[in-house]
Amino acid sequence: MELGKAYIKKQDYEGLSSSTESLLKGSSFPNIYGYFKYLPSNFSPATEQGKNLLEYQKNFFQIVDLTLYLDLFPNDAVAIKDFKIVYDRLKESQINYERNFGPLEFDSAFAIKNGEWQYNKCPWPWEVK
Amino acid sequence: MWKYVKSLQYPVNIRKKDLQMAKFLSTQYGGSDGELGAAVRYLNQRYTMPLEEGKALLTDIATEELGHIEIIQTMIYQLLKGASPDELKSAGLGSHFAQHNHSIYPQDANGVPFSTTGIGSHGDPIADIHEDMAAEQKARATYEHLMELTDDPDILGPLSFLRQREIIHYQRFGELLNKLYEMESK
Repeated sequence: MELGKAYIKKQDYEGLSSSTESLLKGSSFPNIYGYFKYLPSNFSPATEQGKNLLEYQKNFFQIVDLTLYLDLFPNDAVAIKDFKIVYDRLKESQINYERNFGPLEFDSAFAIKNGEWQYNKCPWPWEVK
Repeated sequence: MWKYVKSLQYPVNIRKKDLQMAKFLSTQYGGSDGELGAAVRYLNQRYTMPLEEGKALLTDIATEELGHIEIIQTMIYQLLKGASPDELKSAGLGSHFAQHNHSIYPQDANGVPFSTTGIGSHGDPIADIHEDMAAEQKARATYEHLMELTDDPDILGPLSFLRQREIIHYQRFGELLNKLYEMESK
């Protein structure tokens, strides 16, 4: 190793934590987490909508975390395999949510219902309980 | 191009009004180590990043930071909701009320408006990534300070999530730094 340079050890890919644990901790990876003061034991959505959205949020979070990893290590076959599994779960939770509570994106298949635009309907993300 | 998803990255539902915390949290919105500055910093650095891994990483971390802006904005909005002008005045937010009512505004915890002076973009990928790693550590430290100022689990949950994201981003930028050194040595 040359002097005058900073080195960060590469993360060994050891698979994913459960989607609930991943979102609670803010890390999808069991080998990168540092506790400080508080870790919630679970989520407590107050409404059916919040509960359904949470399933989507858990999957979306793992996709985001895997994306950052794959941007740097695009040939990691195990991570690629995990990405595909989580992606399928994400799409399933998205359709499940959108069928009951309306579109998450403006170009969703659920953006229009009975001839009416659904995307602008409340609650917006800062209003979901 | 960006596409909006009608969902926060992490659920936020703060049930108890807390004007002091709203004031303190502002620093992670519009302060020098806040999420807005982070997003803009990474978006600017993409153009002079030589590696495709780096172009992707800066784009995707910047995008995540945009989602973090939304989390902090939501927290401030919910913490301020329903406060009377007198309550705001007692919490040191009388000047905020005068200028912004119950709206949020990109400023630091002392009410200093968002400034671009904290955004490093040097067109030198090694220098830029060091800047980013330092930025992630400064934000992590700030999240820890904020966590020490409250015991409300509705506030601590999102803050502990955001703090951990700084650690993950630090790791990723560090891995990119290794790749930049490899590229230089070829």
